[in-house]
Formats: sequence, C-alpha cells, structure tokens
Amino acid sequence: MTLYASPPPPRPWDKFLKTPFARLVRHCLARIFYGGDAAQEDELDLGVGVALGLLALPGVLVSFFLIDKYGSLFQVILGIKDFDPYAASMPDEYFFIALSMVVTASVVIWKWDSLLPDRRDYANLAPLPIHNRTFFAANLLALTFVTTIMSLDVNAASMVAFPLVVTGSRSSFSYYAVFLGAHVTSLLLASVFSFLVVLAVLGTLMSVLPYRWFRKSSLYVRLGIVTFLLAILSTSFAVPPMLEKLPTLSSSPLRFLPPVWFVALNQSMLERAGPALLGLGRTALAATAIALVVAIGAYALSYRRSFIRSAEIMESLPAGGGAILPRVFRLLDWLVFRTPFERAGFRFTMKALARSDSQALVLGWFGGLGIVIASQTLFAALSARTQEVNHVPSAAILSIPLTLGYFLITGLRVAFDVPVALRANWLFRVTVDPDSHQCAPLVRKMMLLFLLPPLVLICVPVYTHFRGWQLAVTHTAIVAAMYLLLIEIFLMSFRKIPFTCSMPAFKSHSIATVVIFIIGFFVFSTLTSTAEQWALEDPFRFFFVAPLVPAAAFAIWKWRDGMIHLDKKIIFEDQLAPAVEVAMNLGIGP
Amino acid sequence: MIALEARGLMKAYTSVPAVSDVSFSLNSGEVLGCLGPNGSGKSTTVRMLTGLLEPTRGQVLCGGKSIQSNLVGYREHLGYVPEDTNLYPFLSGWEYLELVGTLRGMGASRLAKKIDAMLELFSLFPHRHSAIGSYSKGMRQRILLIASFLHDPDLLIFDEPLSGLDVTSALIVKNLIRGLGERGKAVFYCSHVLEVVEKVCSHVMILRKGRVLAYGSTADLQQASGQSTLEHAFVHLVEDRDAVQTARDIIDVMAAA
Repeated sequence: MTLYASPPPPRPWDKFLKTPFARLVRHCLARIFYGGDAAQEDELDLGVGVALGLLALPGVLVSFFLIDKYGSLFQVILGIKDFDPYAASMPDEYFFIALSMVVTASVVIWKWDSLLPDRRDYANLAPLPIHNRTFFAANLLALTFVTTIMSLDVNAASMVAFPLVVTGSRSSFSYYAVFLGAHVTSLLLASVFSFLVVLAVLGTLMSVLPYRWFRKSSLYVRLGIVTFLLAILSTSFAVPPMLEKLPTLSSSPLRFLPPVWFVALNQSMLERAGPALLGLGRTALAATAIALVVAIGAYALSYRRSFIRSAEIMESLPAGGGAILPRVFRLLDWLVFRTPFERAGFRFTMKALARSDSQALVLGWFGGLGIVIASQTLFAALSARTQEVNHVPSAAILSIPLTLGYFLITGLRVAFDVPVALRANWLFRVTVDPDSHQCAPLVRKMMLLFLLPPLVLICVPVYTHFRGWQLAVTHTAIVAAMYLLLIEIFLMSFRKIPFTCSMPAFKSHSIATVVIFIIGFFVFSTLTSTAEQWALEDPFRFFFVAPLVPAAAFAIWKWRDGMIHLDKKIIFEDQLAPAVEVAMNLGIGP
Repeated sequence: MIALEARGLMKAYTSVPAVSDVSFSLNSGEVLGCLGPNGSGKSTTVRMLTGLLEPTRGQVLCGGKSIQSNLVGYREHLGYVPEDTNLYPFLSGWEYLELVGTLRGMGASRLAKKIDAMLELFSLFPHRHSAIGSYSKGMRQRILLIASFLHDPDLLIFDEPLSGLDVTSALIVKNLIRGLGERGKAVFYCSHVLEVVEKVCSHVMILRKGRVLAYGSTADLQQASGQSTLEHAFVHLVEDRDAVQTARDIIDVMAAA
C-alpha cells in the first residue's frame, strides 16, 4: 500500500508573503541589518545572530550575578529576617532599565545609516514600478519590527531571569506574576522609548539639514549621544539610593532622568508608588507616546526630503579643502614624522579616522567610557575626603590621567584594527615595502601625539595649581612613562597599516579580549596609581617602584627582538597562525 | 510609433541650467545614441527620461502622455541601466534579481526560470549565490543589465551599459542592443564610446553644455558635418581642445622636474 502525503494546507499568510509588498518589507529588514548607503562593503559585520546574542549578553550576566543577593541562604547568613524583594529590587530595576535604554539606543547608533531609506535605495528601487507610499509603508513596518525584536532581544534574559531571581525565595506564583508584569512592561517601554528618541533625532537631522551637513554632523551627534548614554548608565550607581527620597524632593533634578520615569512606572505597577512616583510613571507613558509621534513625523519628513528628492540633491560629501590642516601636517612632518611612509601614513590615518564613521565611533565609545569613569572617580574622590599623607593626593585622583590614557590608547588600538574600504588597500600593497617594519613606529608616534600634548598641557598646570610643581612634574613623568609602556605592550606584534587589514584581531577571540581589557584597566589605572601614591608618600620608595617600568620595557624589547622575520612583515589580510605559516613555507604544513 | 518623446526639457539645479531645451523623439525599433563630453547633461537627461528627476520645464511623453501623470505605469514598461553600479552588497546576484522581479510583479516560478537562464547566458550562474559585495565591476554591470531585461520591457534606457565589461560581454551587449532594436524595442543609449554608438545606434543626439548640438540619423550626421566617421564628426562639433596637443602637454608635465 502506498501512502500519499497530502500537501500541507495553505497558511493564511502564505499569499501575503508572496506579494511585492511583503518582499519589500523583507528587503527593508535586510538593509537595516546589513547596512545602508554609507556602510562599507567590507566593514566589520558581526552577523545578525552574533549581534543579537551580544546584545542579550549583559542582561544574562547581570541577572546571574544577582542570585546571591536575593537568595534565602544569603539573607540567613546576613541575619536579614524581613527581606522585601520588591524593595530590594528597585536599584537593580533602575540598572536594568538604564542598561536596556543604553543597549537599545546603541543599536540605533550602530545602524544609524541603514534605518532610513537612502540614495542606494533610491538608485535601485525608484526606477521600479512601486509607489513612494508603498516603500514608505514597507520601511515603517520594518522599523516597527526591528524595534520590537531589539526590545525583546535586549531584555529577553532579564525579563525571564530577573523576576525568577528576585521572587525565587517566595513560593507564591501571583507574587512572581505581578513582579514579572511590572518588570517586563517597564523594560520594554524604556527600550522602545530609547529607540524612538534616537530615531527621532536621526529623522529630524535628515529633515532639517542639507545632505552635506547631515553627513558632516551625524558623526558628532552620534558621539554626543554615546557620551550621554554612558552617563545614563553610570547613574546606575548613584541614583538608586536617592530614589527612595524622591517623594520628598519635589524639585529634584532626578525627575529629568528618563530611567527614573520608567522605574516610577514599575513601582506604580507594583502599587508601591506615592504621588510623586505615580506622576513620574505617567511621564514615562506620555514621553513614549510623544517619542512615537515625533519619530514617525521625523521619519515621514526625512523620507520626503531626503529620499524622494534624492536625484535632485547634487551635493557632494565634504572632504578636505581647508587651509589650516595642510599647515598643521607640514609642522608635524618637521617635528615628528620624518620618513615619507610616516608622513603619508599619518595623513591617511587621521583623515580615515575623521571621515569614517565606524572607526570614529569606536574611538568615541572608548573615549566616552574613559571620560565617564574618570569623572565618576573624580567626584567619588572629592566627596570621600580621605586623609592625605605628605600632601599627596589620593590614588583615585592620581588615576584620572591613567584612566583617560588607558581608554584612549585602547580605543585607538581597536579603531586601527577596524578595516575601512579594503578594496582600496592595493595602494599600500604596491607602494610599501612589507619588510620595512615601519608600522609600529608610525602608530607609536600617532598615539603619543594624541596623548602627550594634552597630558602636559592639562596635567602639569592642574596638578601644579593644587599640589605644587614638583608633584605635577613627577606625576606627569610617571603617567607619560606608563603611556609609553602600554603603547609598547599594544604594539608588541603590531604589523599593520591602520585600517588596511581585513580581519580585526579581536574578532576571533572577543570574549578573552574583553576580559583582558577589564583586568588591564585595573592593573594600569588602579594598581599603578596606588603604587604611585605609596611611592609619593615617601620618595625613598621610588627605588622599589621605578625600576619596574624599564624592566618591563626591556622584557618587551627582548621579546620583540626574538620574533622571527616573518612575524614582522606588514600584513593586509587575516592569516594563519605564524607557526602554521612557517610550516607551510617549509613544505611540511597542511 | 513614437515610444518616447522629450519636449523642451530643461533642468536647473541652481541658477545655471544643467540641461536646456532638449527635444527628441524615439520610435519603436530605433536605437538612439546620446553622446556628449563630461558635464554635457547626459545623466540629467537620462534621469528625467526615467522619471527620477522632474524637469524644471518641458515634459517627457510616452504614448503621447506625460510620464509624470502615471509614473508607476510608465516604469512597468521601462528597463533601465544606471551609470553607477550602486547595488546592495549584502544580497547575492540571484537575490537581487529576485527582488527586482518580485517588485515588478513577476510570478515566482517564471521569475526563477528567467533569472537562471539569464545568469547562465551572462556567465554569472556559478556566482549566483555570492554576495554582490564580492563581485567585480563587470559582474555588477551584468547584474544590472539582467535586471533591466527581466520583465521584457518595450523601452530601454542604458547609461554607459558597457562600463567595466570584458571584451566578450561587451560584444554580446552590443549585438543585444542591435537585436532589441530589430525586435521593435525602443532603446535610448547613452555613452562616451563613439565607435559603439556608431555601430549600434540608428540615430544620434549630441549634447554639449546641456544643449542639443546635433540630432538625426548617424549617416545624416556624418554627412552634415562633412566627416567620414562619427568620431571625427563628434570632435568637429564638440571638442574645443586639440587632443593631440593636450596629450603632448601632459607628457611634458610628467617629465618636468
């Protein structure tokens, strides 16, 4: 007997999925995820799956770190009898809301060029028989879909794990359900609000500014938003304790912080809000509604102005033409960059850094993070008022230039690894001698140029003013030596011309890189400043501390000296591990 | 039968017009070549003909009606190869053509067959699932050509269609354009390459500084200018620089200390 499987019945949406409109929506989703007009064809692409996973990661990690806090065993050990999970969760709720807003907004910053239709869409789609309103609607639908997916993804882990962690010590399901409802609603709304606000900024800029000025200013606007987001995230440490006093502080500036609105909404849903928090909860709802209206309005305006009129816009992108920059370059040629390679490499690197969004944003992220951490350290140190020995400032105060330098050096190192317009790197392939070993000296000089002038111009006068010139000069010298040491560590195996190599080193082992980055920060900033403070309190101690720097420098020099010639050649694309490469050259490899 | 007609087209981006008073008509079965030096207004004219740009004055007519009155309907019968190969780098060649065909309302099975056949004929079938980002300029150009043929349009507008093509592909496309004319299609062909225009086009329009300098059949144009080839006729009409002397000057500058 033969059995014939009957074809599956058509699903209601099958017919719709085959229509041109559905195809257009799918295409709009793809262009949002894979890049728009300004995206480089060979720029860093993590892939949708990896990107979504990375976005969800912070929520997972933080939820699991909190298990101890809410565990009944932990409360027994601490002797807490009347533990109220709802009350204890408010600071964490604030953190999750701030994190959700920051991560979601970061996605908009990352996808800035591909959210709204651009010239490439115009070139490809405008000659086809599609109404303008059809494409408008398709992209709007895709944007709605992306907003939903992002909000769910960013918050997925904490939506499931955090309520379980918080209410785990209670056996009541209703207790869990109420908390879950409030948590999910406030998180998702915060995420959506954040997405819409940045989208509204983007749309408004596109609508108001001429294309040339939009492109020119969008990088700076994004860097500004990044700094603002980092500041919002950093409030997670200071704001939650103040929230309990909020009802009595009628004119508190906390009322202007968006995460506070959504915490208030959360507390309102948990029926734990007084009149002040109830009002702020309503602000959260109103703000989201306003953001929605403004975002759609700005999108419609920018669509009309930038997309439909694409062919009319004959403006070219700004690039150079100033009179001051060539003079600065000539001066630096005379002072710093002496070889033709260094001069050309410096000009190329600076122009790429200033005009390529991805690279500038990477540097902006690191710089912003450095500024936020340094300013928090400064405020914490000033409010702590620790007792000083021999008029020596605290380790926290001493760590500030080290913190800023660490983030700037790391940011530059990572940014230099991110490729830009790889198809154009043939120019360097045909003109640069791969055995000339000029890359590390060039990058060293550029990094020092970024670091030393501001260090000397800011650090010396500030520390002189507050602590006298001897301490200022000593501290500046120590910081400069540490900068140099860190640069040497970063350049130990560096053999690329910035932006011209196909695969960033951190892409293949990103988690290990993040761990090393965090440990490196504590060693470079916290440990160094503590050691420096210890030495400054009694200058005799410098005899123990000072030799460490030249010893480390000597170790790096020896290590580099022992490298085989092949490992020093300039590279332009990802390669096998050197050992495998040597084996292949000798004819014994795979 | 007139397939496309331009009447007094003028386009001004600023106070200086990019194109002024361009008029011509293109009948079914004709291949009209549009020639002109850089900045002569060829691309602006093409954009107005495709409806991407609205003329400041004048109009483009198709079947006697202004294309602006039913732009979507007009584009259903139009195949267009733009000058820039600005394609989506994250799509494969096949996916791009599938997107274009679907948006043109073609049925899925017919579209798939047509795409496969076209990719095979344009020697792109082995690369059909590679991302366009990895394609050479010539491969991208071939994808654009296929995209313009998929729906069998009556009117084709080509802006430098041979750009980046290898010798064999260029030869195929030249014969193809001639063949399209013989099959009754109306073809507007914009190019810098005089030899190709001379061989492929039945009619020629020469633009200079946004104005029509000459318009007529290729033979008439040569006869009117008193020159033996289209190249000589073009140089006679358009170029105000001595090409031989300019080349010598460049070599002198190269050798200068």
